[in-house]
Amino acid sequence: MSDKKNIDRLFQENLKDFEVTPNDAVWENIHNTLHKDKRKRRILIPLWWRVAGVAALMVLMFTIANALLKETDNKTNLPVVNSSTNDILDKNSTNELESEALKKEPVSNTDFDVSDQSKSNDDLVQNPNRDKNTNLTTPGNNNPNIVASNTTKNGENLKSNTSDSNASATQKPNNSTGKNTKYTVAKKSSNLPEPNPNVILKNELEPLDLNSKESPENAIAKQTEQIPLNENESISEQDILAETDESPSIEDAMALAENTNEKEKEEEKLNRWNISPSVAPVYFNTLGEGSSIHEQFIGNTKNGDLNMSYGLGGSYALNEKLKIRAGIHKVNLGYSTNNVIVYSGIGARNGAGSNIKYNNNSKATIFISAESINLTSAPEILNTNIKGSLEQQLGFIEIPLEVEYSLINKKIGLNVIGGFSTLFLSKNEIYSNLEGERTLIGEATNINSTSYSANLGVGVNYNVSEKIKINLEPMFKYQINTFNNSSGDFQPYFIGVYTGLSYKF
Amino acid sequence: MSLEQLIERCKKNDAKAQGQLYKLFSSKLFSLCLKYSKNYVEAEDNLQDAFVTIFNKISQYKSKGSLEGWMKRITINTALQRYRSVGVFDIINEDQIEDVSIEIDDDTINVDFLLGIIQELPDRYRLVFNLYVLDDYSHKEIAEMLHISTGTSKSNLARARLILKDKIEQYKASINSQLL
Repeated sequence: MSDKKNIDRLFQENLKDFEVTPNDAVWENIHNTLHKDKRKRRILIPLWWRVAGVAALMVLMFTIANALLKETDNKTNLPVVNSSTNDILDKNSTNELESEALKKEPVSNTDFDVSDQSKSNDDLVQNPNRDKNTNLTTPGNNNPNIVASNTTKNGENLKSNTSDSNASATQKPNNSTGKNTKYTVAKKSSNLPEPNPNVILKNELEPLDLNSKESPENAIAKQTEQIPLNENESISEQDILAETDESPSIEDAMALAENTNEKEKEEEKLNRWNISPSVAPVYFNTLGEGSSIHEQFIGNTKNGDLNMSYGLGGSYALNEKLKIRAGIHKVNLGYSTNNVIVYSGIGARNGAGSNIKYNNNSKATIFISAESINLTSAPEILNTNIKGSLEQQLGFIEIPLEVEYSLINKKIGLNVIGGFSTLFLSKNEIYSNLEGERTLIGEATNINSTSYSANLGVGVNYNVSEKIKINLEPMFKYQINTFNNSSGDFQPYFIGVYTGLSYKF
Repeated sequence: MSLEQLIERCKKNDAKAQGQLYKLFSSKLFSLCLKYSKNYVEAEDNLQDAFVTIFNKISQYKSKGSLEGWMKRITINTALQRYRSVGVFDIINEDQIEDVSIEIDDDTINVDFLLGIIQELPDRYRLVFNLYVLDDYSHKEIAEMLHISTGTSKSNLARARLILKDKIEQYKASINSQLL
């Protein structure tokens, strides 16, 4: 038995040397609390560096996009032989001419386009800009003519030197020579895509300049106004109507976003929700060699078009790092198949492998890949037919579902984005492009009404205030299941640099 | 490095020095937090808040008393602060009882058990018991700290002792019955 003892002493003695090591997490919390403020203070100093960095990145993006387009254009000009007729200006100097001319023009451009948009009831929208552009590049336009005449004289050798399928395709036109079928005047037009991207780029860059002078909201409004204008250049009447129908809805969305922004000021809650309207120049192309139109075009060079995508997205923050985002975007994609010989013949049609459903006006038009004809053995009649291009224009309603993981979350944020999109086909058109004249010839039969894309991208954002961010997201979207019967290794993708504002609430 | 140098560097918000100071005192202060809190999680919260206050106010420490004593006072204050805001001290309708000393058999008892029954005490009893018995505050000081009268402090202490005694005796009885 032990002695009686005061209860106080029992506790004092037993707990005297009592020590417990706390969890490491406690120290981490303490450390973070103590040094969070300091980090904020540090940010202020290199802020200019960061802003400059974002600006530099944006310039870089546009330069790359521009360079990509230039590169594909150069390819199409490779076969051009520089023989006399006109003083052929150096390629570079023509470009300079163009860009100089365009620099003077942008303001009037938009005016033209607006008036066009309102009164265009003709199937063939002839854009005044386009005419100017083609005029500027005339020196280059004549070249393909020369190529054709220089190279193809020996029509007799046609059968022996061309493949069977090509022979059957080219024979009929040969026969029709005697009957004096009138050939549509076809001229080389592969130079055309070049002015287009330039115009679009100018338009695209212009609102960005305005950003610095005006409030962000105004700039965005300008951008959304700009979209239909850009597309106007390559779209027929019905689409223009569709565009104009949709543009107010985007403006509504903007207004909505602003309204919600006002509400935010009143109630300060958990800012888990985000709404972000965005605009993006999108560049469409294919990874492999192939054609979605016809197997004979597999080897032809293809030019991706620069189009616009715009829409509204929303996101929900699961935690500080992870966001789930969804949205709805309208995206237009297009590409041109170059070196296509176009003429109207007597009901001749190279049926097998073709994915075009022709409309009534162009039932009698025939398209042949210039690359599939042996240049030394093509029938003489083909010499008079100047090469053009086939332009495929697609429009989708895109519903992305993506996850955004934030790597840096400070004044300047950096995040990676991955996910997929469901694409609903909204526009499907094929044009022939000759001498600056675009003619709707029909639609593709091999495009699925619903398709998907795998998306991967990087996002940079700048916190203007607690609620508002400016976003810049270069995204790569690899399309899956878009075409159900493409020829060759046709792997379409598109790249878009999504810019916009996002509002937290 | 001497403690003085460490304190000087902590005053300059040196993260490494803060880490060393934390290592030196965290176990001691955590045991203090455990005694003043209802449970482990609350004790962790207290320790965290206490250290943040310590590092933020270390420039006010004038090397008059011991650093450990100063840190302990901040830790205890942090613990009390929690209950002040909850309003535990406002209860007044309570019959006061005599402060008597209680004798108990002197056996070695598991520290965890003792800590457990302290934590199980009603909030104010626990605080008064800790302050008076384990940290040598007088009833007058306790009355000021908790905004109560010295009589209430004494009465709370007596009730705490009774509860603790009962629990210890129950515990011993259960151990004895297990042995038999």
